[in-house]
Amino acid sequence: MERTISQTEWKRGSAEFLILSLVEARPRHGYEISKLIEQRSGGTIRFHVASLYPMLYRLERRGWLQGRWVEKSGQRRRRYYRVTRQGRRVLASQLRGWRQFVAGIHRITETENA
Amino acid sequence: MPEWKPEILRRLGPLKLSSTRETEIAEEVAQHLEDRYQELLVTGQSEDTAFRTAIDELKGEDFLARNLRPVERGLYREPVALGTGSSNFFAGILQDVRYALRMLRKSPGFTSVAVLTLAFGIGANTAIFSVINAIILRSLPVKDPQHLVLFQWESDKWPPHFSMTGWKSDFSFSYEEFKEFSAQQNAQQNMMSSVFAFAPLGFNDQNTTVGINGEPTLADGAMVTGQYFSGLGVTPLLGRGITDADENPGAPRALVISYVYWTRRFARDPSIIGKSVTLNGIPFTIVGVTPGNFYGISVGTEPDLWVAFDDKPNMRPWSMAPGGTDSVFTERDWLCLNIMGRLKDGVTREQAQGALDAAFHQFVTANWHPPKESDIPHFILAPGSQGLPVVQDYTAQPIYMLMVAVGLLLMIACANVATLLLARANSRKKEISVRLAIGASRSRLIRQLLTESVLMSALGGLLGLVFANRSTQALIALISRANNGTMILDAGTDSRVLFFTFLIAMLVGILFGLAPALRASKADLLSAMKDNVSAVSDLRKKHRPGESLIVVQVAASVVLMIAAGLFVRTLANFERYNFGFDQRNLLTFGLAPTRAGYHDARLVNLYTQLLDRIQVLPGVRAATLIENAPFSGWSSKNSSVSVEGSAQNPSKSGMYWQRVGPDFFSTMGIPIVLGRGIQRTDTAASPKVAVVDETFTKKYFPGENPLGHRFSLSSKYDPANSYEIVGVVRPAELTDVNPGVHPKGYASYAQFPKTLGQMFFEVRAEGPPATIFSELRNAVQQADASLPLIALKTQAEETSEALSFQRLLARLTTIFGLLALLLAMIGLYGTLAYAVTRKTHEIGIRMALGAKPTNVLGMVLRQGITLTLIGVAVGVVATLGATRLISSMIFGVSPYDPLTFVAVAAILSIVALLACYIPARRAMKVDPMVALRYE
Repeated sequence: MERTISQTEWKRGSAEFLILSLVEARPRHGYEISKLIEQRSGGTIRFHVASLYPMLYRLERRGWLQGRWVEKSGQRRRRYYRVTRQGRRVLASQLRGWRQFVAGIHRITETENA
Repeated sequence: MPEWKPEILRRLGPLKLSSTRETEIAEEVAQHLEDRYQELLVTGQSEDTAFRTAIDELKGEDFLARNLRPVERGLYREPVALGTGSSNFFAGILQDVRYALRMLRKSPGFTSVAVLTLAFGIGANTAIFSVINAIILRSLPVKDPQHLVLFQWESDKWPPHFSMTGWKSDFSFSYEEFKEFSAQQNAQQNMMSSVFAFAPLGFNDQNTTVGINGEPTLADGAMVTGQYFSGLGVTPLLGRGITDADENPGAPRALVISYVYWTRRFARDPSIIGKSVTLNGIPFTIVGVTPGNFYGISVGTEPDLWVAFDDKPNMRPWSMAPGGTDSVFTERDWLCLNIMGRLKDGVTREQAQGALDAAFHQFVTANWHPPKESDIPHFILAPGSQGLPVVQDYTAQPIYMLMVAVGLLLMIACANVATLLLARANSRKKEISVRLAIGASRSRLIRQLLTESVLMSALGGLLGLVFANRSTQALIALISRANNGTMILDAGTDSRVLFFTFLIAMLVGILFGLAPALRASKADLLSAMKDNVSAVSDLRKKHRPGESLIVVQVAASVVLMIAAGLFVRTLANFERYNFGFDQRNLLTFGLAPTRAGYHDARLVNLYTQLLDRIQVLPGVRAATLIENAPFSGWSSKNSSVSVEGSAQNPSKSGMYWQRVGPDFFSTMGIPIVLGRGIQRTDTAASPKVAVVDETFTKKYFPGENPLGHRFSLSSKYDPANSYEIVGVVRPAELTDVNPGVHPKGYASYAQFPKTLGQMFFEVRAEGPPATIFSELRNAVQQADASLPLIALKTQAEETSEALSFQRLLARLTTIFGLLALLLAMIGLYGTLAYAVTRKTHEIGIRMALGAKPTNVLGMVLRQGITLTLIGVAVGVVATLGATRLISSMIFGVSPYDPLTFVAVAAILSIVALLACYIPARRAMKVDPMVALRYE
């Protein structure tokens, strides 16, 4: 795809991919998602509230995520997000894309450094 | 605990979101900040530091709003445009339809219930309309039916008693008149391109004996003049139609058969043209077969065969001979045939009518002998595109009544679905509010909601068409049976029916969708977002439309159920009715020996001999003759009776008159109260006698002994043609299941050799009548093998068939009534169940404040029963106004019958109680603790 991707967009695109893949396993709420991203990236990727929730709402609007309020006894209610069927399809295609991209990078850099 | 929401709301302010959305976002983000705050506290930070760190997540005053703006304003591509206005109207409609389909798919249970409910309502209406279409609206399947006209006359004052129907307005004319009209038409070629006449060969179906390969069979025949087929514009499928040449005396006898008859009797033999058969003993040659869709000129009856007008004793219009001379061709006041014509292009009915009126006037003056100039009937050319109205007359009223009934059913179905929609609208308030919040216009929203309801009713309409197709055929079969099984109707789904269904579906969709759409789009956004339903009084207001819909449904059900009750009782009354004769072990069959050439004394002898044979058969207790089979619907009605020496106005008198055989009254079980019955000694050689019934004596000889008195059947007493009364019997209803109080008289068949025709045998068997069927057949065969038995059946079967119409009405209205009840109760249950769900919080409060479960039960039941009782009251009032419309169709029960009204009210109330009980029990079981937390 011939396109210059700004850093913001690049980050956003990959962020959406991250969120989808985290939620694919099981439904999670916003705070849980942000903690997981921080932990699993070793602190390199952090999303603040002001960035995370707009992103979640955007994914919801697109129909890739579905949010639901859930109340557990003794707790305040939280909004949980799960991936939809459409979201799964998008995730699979993005994953393929990423893998191809990473493999390509790998081939180029290995060759150069060889 | 820190207050996060004010901080968040302040940052959301510039977005100008709806308060609902703002609250939602604030709650979610606040929870996140609280989690972060707690995490930081655990790591050892102070409250202040932890607070500031958490707030930092919001990244300043405007970062959150900036990021949210594109998302909340929907500037990203949405899967569905949410009412922000579309440039293209059709694209908008398509979007609406797609969205509507999605919404319907999302709640499959609701959609199926709604669609099925609508399918029943629309389907029932389509079925009845199909029948109306077939009987009343459809044109004849001929070329340019709109140019056809039907000859008719109408008289205010003076109905000639020899008209075939005896009505004041009639389509009957004599052959001489037809010749006059034809001559006029020939002279004035500019008015009509053809004039033609037709008459059936008998009163009933199976009026002709057809000998095929020597075997006698029965068929329905008609006589037509030469221009019948050409005038109608019917192109025969095979061969040709009847032509003018066939009317010439001495012309070879031509016969045209119908497609159905060709299929039934000849297995569509392709070499049928030229085949010889006999009609009433006379050889004929088949010259043509009509196309498959042609049924003659009268809906619901279809002749099997057509012949040219011929005046043979064996073959006459209506199988009857006129009074004086024997010829149908010369009797000028014997009105035996119907006349139609085809107008030329550009000629109006009025023009042609004016041209022929003078000829008619002249003819009547010269030949019908009207008492006064002003008594002369006037001539009318009626529209003939639908042919001769026969069936329409007596089916119109019941069919329109059924139309009203299914209309009510549809109304109930619509109210039901509207109730469902209203309930759903409440639960969709959030969705609608969100859409309104982000800029959807109210009208756009209403259009969207209407699209959903119209789509639902369109689906219901499609399904209803399928229901209708099945049920129309069943309906036709039922109607046909009620019409003695002679009705052939093509009630297929034509474009008119499709259009009707489509129209109904659209109207219905808008009807039940509009109110909920208007209400839903007016959603109070603030309270809609709050799931907390607090105020008790609010709820009653919100449910008003739902409540009035329930009242409407219950009221309509009451109307239908009362109608059903009245018809069921009518049927029961008919079935229980004592018609004045003993129907047990009685069987009946007819013979038409005139078709085989029997006349005069020979005919009388044949009947006498057959009676003798039959009476000695084993298993036969008694046998006699009667002119018209009981309940066949036919009778001889004379409108004039003049008693010797009486001054009674003859035009106000009238009686039913039958020729019967000896021992008639003892065989039929009709008690003789005075004098004697008809005996063998009453022959052509002995003085003419009559037996009358008590109704007759009450009318003409009140308080006197009538025996020995004389009367004649004419407008003035005629001694030469008078009858001596020799006996009086109890009144018996032998003609119609709808009993009327008419004077009746009976004469001996043997005293009328010249005018005797078809007669029916009444045989009383020792045991079950079916056991002697074959013996009877043999007895007749032995007398003459060429005489087929007509309509051999038990009297019980005949009576039952005569009641088919009442049975049909009772069945149909009962089905509609039960369906209506079911729908109304589903609606009631649904409304209450939903109300209970909505009121759970309120119930919880009540119970927490001390209300007992039984109080709650009572509260819900009261609401349901109140609605039901209001509905019943409205329904009863509506029915009181409406039942007199069906008073002519019920029998033995008053249209205001208290028993029926009370029973229906009781049944409805009990069923309603059950319908209310389930949601009431659920309300009773509400756990206050859960209910108070319920949002």
